[in-house]
Amino acid sequence: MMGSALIAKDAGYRLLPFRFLRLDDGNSNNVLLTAETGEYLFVPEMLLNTLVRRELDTHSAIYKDLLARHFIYEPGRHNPIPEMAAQYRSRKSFLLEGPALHIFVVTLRCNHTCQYCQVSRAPQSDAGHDMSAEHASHAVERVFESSSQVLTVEFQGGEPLLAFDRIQQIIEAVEARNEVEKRNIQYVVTTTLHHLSDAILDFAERYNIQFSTSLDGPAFLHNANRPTPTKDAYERTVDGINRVRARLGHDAVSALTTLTSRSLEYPEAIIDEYVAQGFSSISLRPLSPYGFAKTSARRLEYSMGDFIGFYKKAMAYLISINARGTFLSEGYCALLLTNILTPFSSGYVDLRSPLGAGIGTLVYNYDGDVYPSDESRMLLEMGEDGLKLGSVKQPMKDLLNSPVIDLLLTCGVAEALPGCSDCALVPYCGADPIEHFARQGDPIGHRAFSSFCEKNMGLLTHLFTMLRDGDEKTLRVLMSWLSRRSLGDLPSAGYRG
Amino acid sequence: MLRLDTQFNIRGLTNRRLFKIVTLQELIEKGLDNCAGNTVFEDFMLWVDRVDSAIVHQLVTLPVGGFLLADDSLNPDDFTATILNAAKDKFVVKPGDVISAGPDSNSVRVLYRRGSNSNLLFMTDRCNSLCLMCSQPPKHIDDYWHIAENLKLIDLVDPGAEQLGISGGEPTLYREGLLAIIAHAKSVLPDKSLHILSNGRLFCDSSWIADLNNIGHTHLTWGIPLYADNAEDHENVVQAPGAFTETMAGLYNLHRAGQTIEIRVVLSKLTAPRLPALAHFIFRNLPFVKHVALMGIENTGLAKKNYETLWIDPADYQEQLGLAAWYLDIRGITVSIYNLPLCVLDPRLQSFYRQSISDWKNLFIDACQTCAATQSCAGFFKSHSERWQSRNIHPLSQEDLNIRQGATHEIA
Amino acid sequence: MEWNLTITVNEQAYSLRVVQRVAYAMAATLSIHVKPNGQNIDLEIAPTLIVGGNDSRPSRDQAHELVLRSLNDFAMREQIQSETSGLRELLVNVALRGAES
Repeated sequence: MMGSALIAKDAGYRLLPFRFLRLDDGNSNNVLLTAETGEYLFVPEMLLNTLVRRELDTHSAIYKDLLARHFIYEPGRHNPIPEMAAQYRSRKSFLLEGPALHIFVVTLRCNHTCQYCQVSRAPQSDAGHDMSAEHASHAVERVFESSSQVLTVEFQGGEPLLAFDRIQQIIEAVEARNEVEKRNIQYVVTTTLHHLSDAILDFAERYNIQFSTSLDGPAFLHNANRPTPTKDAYERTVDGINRVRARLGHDAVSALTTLTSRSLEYPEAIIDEYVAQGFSSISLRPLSPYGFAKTSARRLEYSMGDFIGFYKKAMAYLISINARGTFLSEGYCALLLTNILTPFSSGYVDLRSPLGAGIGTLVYNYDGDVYPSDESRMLLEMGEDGLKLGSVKQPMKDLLNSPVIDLLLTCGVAEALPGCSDCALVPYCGADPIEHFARQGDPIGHRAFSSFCEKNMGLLTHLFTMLRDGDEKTLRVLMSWLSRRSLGDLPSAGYRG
Repeated sequence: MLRLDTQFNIRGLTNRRLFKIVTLQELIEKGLDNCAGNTVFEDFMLWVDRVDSAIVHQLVTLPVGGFLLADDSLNPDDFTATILNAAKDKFVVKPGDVISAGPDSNSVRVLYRRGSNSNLLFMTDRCNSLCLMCSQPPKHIDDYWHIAENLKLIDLVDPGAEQLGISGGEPTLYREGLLAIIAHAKSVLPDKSLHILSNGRLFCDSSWIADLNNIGHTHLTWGIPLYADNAEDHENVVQAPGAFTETMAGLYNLHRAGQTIEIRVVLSKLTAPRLPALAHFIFRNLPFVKHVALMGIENTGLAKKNYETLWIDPADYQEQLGLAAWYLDIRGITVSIYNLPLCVLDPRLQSFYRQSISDWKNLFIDACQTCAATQSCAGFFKSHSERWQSRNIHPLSQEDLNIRQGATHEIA
Repeated sequence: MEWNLTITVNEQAYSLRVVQRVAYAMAATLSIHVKPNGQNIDLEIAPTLIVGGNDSRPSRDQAHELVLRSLNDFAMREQIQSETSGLRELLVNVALRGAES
């Protein structure tokens, strides 16, 4: 199969496809090699040359490392393709199933006027922007046309709890259908938690609904970012968090931040707030180029470089808190660790190749239109409906046959994109043609000017540097995030090679 | 440490066969239900003790296959049929056991011992590898008779839950026989879990997948050795070119057949240096492995003559052992450390330690006289000798034991 | 500070494909105009003009070093690609064909 078996006498080793990245950081092992499997090694620069010139000492430990991690192979000897294929298939296992994430935008009504809001808001009383029962019913049929055994049904808005009766209808319809289908289904509601009621909590308990909310930091920061008529967004959200926990358990609600340029001044305060509220995970998200964030005043804008600087400070602070015994993981870091250190895909639709939009996610908008991602319907608000897949009345087969999907796939395989195809980090990264379209007007995008690239390269190289250079305590914290176990359970970080 | 064989005087036996040892009370209470499978009274050998001496003349009329006179005051002349008496070691054969006895020799083997932690079905002395540390050196003979013996043995063992091993040599060399044994075990011993040791090489033939699926045994674990993350080092240990490729292909086929897989690594000078790298290789390429067993070496069989190549003081590989064990544990693969004396183990690895040497193989040495941990320690192999002994062997105090069993957790 | 610099490379040593990739990769800090010139290729290099200024733009000497290093890196990538040609596609085919058996 490899042809090389014919030249069994060919002494020595041959190269397997691999990529490299130079880290200009003064460390002697400053070249990161990554294999097609996602395995990696840090090596000195000289070794890269020796490796490519096929002058490696075949009895050395590094030779065996390179062989075992699939940077080289020995023609006529062990054929590594089966195990490489097993790793590759595992990393791309999401391709073998239909869309797993189904987002229902049940309403655009909301009581907040967040400056970075990614959706066009309708006033709380205006029911003209609610999803109809008929559209909801069609959307439920679409969900089960996916072959995925594991499904997440997520409710977004506006403020989805303002259309709670629609949520009820949808969940009850999904459950009824699932008596037969027997899939593994998780429900999530992304909400400000300002409109909870006992009826909602009863219902949530019955169907094991998870809540996801925004908590931007301490009160002054959260309220500055998220104005409401009664100026008490923070207080009501925290009250909501407590109510959900009291009724459904501590882990029934998770939170994420959206960072404005003001937020960037307060990494420790934001983290302290999450500790105070007893969260075990924090998600530090930079602004995205959609909706109001795009058109808002300059004061919301900051460069991706600014975000990365903030992120490094936040990570250092997080590590120190964890080292002292408080478990709080950073969400994006945890999924990058999964991508780097395991042969599994993280399950995160927004960082994968081929892209997650459309083939991994479907969004059923309140008006009956279907989009490949939440961001693409936000582009709608920018006057851009070119990414609509079709109507919720159309079978999924037709929706996924839309020319939009073709376009996305053409621009959505990172291994084939300029700038990405040579990048050592491509096994751990993804393609986001929709963000590139929003920011640069071109779904392929120019990597040198891409903030998506800047963010992921920045975070990945920072994480790789920590993996290479971090002390034992730092590594134990990272391993506690990877394994979701407390630091006390891990007296050793284990092999770090 | 209790042996599996001893000598008896044997009378009235015309061919080699198996017997289930039962007491009179068991016979009366449970009859043929003393055994898991289809049996007849002929399969039983009645255990006759001093207390039964008053009723000997009634016992001899029972339709059992033979009598084991456990007390020297009993006179074998009072009995007809097959008689075993005057055991050299009176503790070896007990009620509940299944023995093999024949007219050709005084030696009686225990094939199944009630209450043992290490009953196993021995398949063959043949093997297609020749590991440098092989504890059961292969013989190139036709010993297919083990299959029939094992099928009968399955019928005679106690019913109920326990683990049975299947080993050799290389069990897959008698493919149909092995499949028949697994199928028979599923049918007769549904509560018992089977742990089969195999080098996995013959599973590179994917036709095994359908055969295993057809039987559908759900309590089966395959223990398969992998000694390195590269072909050269692995094949150096198993002394069989191409074995690495075959074993890897076999592992993937077993996974496709829905089988539960354990990887076993014997710790030696050849495997210790790259042990962490092997852990990495296992997790990346074989993430479906349920368990990894890291095992101290047994100084028996071929290991003896390969001392220079194999021996490394366990004190000198504790660091690699810890790196490998924690690497796997963090990533969700269960790890067990077997066959090491507790005193040489890095205390931080206590949570992986298993008190594991088969109860018929282990012993303690002089240095252990004052040790507080003998109840928790695997001890030494019977084959143990001084040159295979760690320099760190020392008795543990109660406090040492407390440290190991309590505080492996370090906060901040 | 404005400067410009021309680096000439022999197309046998650095193919047009390699030079184009260098220009693409460095576009954020260096503007590289690629001009075939007989057997050679000229790289006409100047610092990128960025609205609002960018203090971290390289000097002429730094740019020289960065471009040469980048040329070598992409040449090495091209060599790896040519030696391993077809293997990536083979791997993806084996990995993703058919359903799980």
